[in-house]
Amino acid sequence: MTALHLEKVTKVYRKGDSEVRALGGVDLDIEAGEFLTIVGPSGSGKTTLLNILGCLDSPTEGRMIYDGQELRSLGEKGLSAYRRDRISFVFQSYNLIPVLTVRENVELPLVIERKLSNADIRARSVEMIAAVGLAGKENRYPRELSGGQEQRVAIARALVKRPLVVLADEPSANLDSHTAEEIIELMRKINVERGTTFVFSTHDRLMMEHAARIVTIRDGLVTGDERK
Amino acid sequence: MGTLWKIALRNTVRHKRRTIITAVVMMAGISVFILFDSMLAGMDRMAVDNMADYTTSSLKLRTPAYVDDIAATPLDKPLPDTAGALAILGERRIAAAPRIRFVASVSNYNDEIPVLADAVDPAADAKVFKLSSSVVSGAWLSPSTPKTVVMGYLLAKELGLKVGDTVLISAQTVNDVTNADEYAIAGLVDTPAPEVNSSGLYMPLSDARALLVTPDMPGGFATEIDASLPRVSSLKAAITEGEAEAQALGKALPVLRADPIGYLARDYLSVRTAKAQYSFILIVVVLVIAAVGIVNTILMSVYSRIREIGVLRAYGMTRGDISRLFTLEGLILGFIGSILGVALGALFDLFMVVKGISITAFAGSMGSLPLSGVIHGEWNPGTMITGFLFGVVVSLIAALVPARKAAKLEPTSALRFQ
Repeated sequence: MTALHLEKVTKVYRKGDSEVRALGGVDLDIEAGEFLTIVGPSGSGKTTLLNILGCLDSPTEGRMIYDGQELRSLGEKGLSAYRRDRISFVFQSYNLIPVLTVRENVELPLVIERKLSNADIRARSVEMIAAVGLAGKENRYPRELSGGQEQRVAIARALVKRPLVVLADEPSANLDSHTAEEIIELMRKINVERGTTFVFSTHDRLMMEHAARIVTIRDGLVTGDERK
Repeated sequence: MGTLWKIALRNTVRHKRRTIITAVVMMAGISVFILFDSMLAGMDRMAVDNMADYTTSSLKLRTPAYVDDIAATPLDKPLPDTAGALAILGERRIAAAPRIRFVASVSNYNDEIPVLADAVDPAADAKVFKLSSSVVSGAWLSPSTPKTVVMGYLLAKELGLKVGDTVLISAQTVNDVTNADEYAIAGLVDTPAPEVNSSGLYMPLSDARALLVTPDMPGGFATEIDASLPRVSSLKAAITEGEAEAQALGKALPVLRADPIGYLARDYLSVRTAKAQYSFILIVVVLVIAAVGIVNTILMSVYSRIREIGVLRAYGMTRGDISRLFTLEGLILGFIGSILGVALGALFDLFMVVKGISITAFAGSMGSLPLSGVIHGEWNPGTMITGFLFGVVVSLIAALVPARKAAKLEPTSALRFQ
């Protein structure tokens, strides 16, 4: 079943009189439960594509259909609501909220979503923290964790609301190879066990090795789509 | 909303230095406002009390015609029945004393100075005014020593006179001819009222009636009756209760006009209103400075947390949520600063109420205001509430600018921010 469908998506940035064509007409179908990596050189359009997939940015032209819904017509508030309900992110720099504990960081998407009771929010976040191997560290603050542990918290935060898709922008870039492998294995495990769709951008060979599908992008165009 | 509060509160605690600096500025502004208000209220109280004790009394009974022509200090519009009016005041247990106010000229036989003299009943006057206890040389007037006067010590100084010296006092009689007589100086007074010290002249009613050639009236000739109402907790209460008493007396004595302290001290009280505006301007200036501090603090908070804003937006927070988050931070800062300001202001107030401050050293710069001695402050919960609310509202308004700036950040730009 197709989770995300992009059709002739372009993105043009204007700076004064000049135009930068970040995406030049991308067609892409992502199936539910895929573990997909987007690769390409710097400036090729990976981050722009991830931003558009994540509804953080709107395409200049083209169609986006997510889970059967056309997103082109959604405005600012609609995109916020879609992000809140269906999409999660894992960032290169973890980007945990420093004044919130591990549990509160993980609870954050559910609190923003406002669909569950406080008791359910707590139960689900504690379960998710345990799933990423951080049971017992619920009340720690981000500054008390290692980089790998922070990224695990970020993954727990991304998964806790059971999103349609998790988008990760170079999630292993700030980690040592051993920790990076642990994180990749964790995401792969969750992908297999829960069927969550993962889409990464990466330069990391290790991540590419674990990916089930590698989409190559160059100069804003999809130039390769390899399934393993 | 709970999470927004949590994030806002913890960020306020986390950035202690910024929070402390901003709160201290607000605390200073609000506490100084409360202190000034307490001092001004104390000064008002002292000034009005001194006027009641030394010059105006707290309530005056005169004929309406006399008040209409007051600039001329007329002697042809006296009280029709002084004894009757005094009896009614006595029934109401109000201390009262009759007086004749007249224009006189005091001479040491070389120089003469025009003054507004008061003829008094020495014993009754001492129950209404505090002049008798302000004698610094000699003694207060006594029925047993006729043809004596008491004058302000500065008036005596200007004429080169001392207790025991003789002065020539001349005045227009009731029949509008000039009469004069010699009097011995019985005593000199030094009061907190500058006008009494520089031009006060007091003589017994019997001597004045002889000098002014007054007709016989029931209870004796007098142009006014001065009354002393019991002291109450605040100036506001004194004015309110004075008005109520004046209304009651107006009904009991329909031919007379009863003027309470609020009317008698109206010139001073109008100056006081201007002073209150100055104190409000003071708090506005200090809180504007604090507001700039709050804008700066929240802006620093926004700039140091741009990526965090990006994450919150990525997870579905709306622009409104982000704006509320930073507005809450401003509100918390304002709340802390305002609470501390009110607490410190209350401490200042406590000191002012219990100990007070001496203004004797500044007496020379007080001009014609009837102020000297120790000023005590007055508790004013309304000022504390005003200071607190003003601090919170200013903080809220100050936080709106950076909060709006934070809300306008695009999530993609915020997440890219290094």
